[in-house]
Amino acid sequence: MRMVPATLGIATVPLAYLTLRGLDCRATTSLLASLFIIFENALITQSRHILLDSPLVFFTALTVFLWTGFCNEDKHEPFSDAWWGWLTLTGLSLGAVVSSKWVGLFTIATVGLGTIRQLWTLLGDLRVTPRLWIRHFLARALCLITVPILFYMAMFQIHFLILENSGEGDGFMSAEFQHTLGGRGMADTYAGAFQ
Amino acid sequence: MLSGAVRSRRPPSPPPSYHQSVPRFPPKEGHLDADERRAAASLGYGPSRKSAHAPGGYNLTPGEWKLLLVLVVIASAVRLFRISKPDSVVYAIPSLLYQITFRRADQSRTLKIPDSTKSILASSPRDTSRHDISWTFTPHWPNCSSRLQPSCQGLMGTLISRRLQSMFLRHFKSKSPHVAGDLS
Repeated sequence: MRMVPATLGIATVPLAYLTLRGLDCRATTSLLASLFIIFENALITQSRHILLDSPLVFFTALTVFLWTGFCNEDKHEPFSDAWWGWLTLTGLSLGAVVSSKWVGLFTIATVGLGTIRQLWTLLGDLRVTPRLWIRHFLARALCLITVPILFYMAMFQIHFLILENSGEGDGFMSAEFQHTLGGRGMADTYAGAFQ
Repeated sequence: MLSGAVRSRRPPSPPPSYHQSVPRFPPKEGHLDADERRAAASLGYGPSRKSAHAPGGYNLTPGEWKLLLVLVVIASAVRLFRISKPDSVVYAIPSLLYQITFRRADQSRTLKIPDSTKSILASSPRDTSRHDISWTFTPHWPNCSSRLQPSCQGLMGTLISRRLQSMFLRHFKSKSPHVAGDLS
């Protein structure tokens, strides 16, 4: 079980390197940042325990990496296959971040602010027609709002499919939900007639 | 007497043939000269940048891929070191248990302080000239079981305990003729 957070902690290192390279930093700068991440005590400790923080950090790093790639591609050639690929993967990664922990909503907010800035810049660009601007807006709305929501809901669907039986964590759920679980030990109660 | 506006002008650049065929300091790859920098800046680009943004995709050289592989190997070594024992660490400094004994004919006093070196020096007898002094340093990792203690001790812990031992030697040697230390 410890291998999962450890592996994610390892994978964060090359992501940091590639992100900085994508931001046009020099190789030495990227190398230094990667070394900092490798030997950062808190991240090492996090990677050694079975916690949700390690997936959170990894998917946050992955989102920043993919978003950087998308921003580069957006300035290079919008609506190309690579552009759509970076954007869709960013949306999927955002869904993974928020599925790991709700703190990941801050990552969504960060990407959202970047998107608003991009759209604002496009709005002031006289070469961009209103029709093209709407295409930009819809593409981002589809990939950065709809895709993460679908990913998040799909994760719950997988949970419901796998974890269909009653367990120790039932107490956190509502009585209605507990009644849907197999092997429940909860007695039926009468619904209140006068409420 | 000059009449009209007088403007200072930049002298024209010398013809290309003026330059030596082999420049004394050949320009580095990607280097922009002053004119190119000014042209780039007028387009709103960053300093030393020919374009406003990085090109799409990632163009890493084979050497960089090898560097990335080395980084992953180092990261794996750091993250997976004794992964089954999460309390063990790669390069942490273990705390040290100090045990110092001051012996005299009429009294014997043992200090066992796991805190700081200063507290040991502060709580030692004032006049140690007639004491036999001996001490023990034990590098100690608090979360390890006693069986695993030797394997939990890092290199830094050993080095620091040796340094502390020499410091105690210097401190007490001038005061007492009978000084003995032990590093375990």
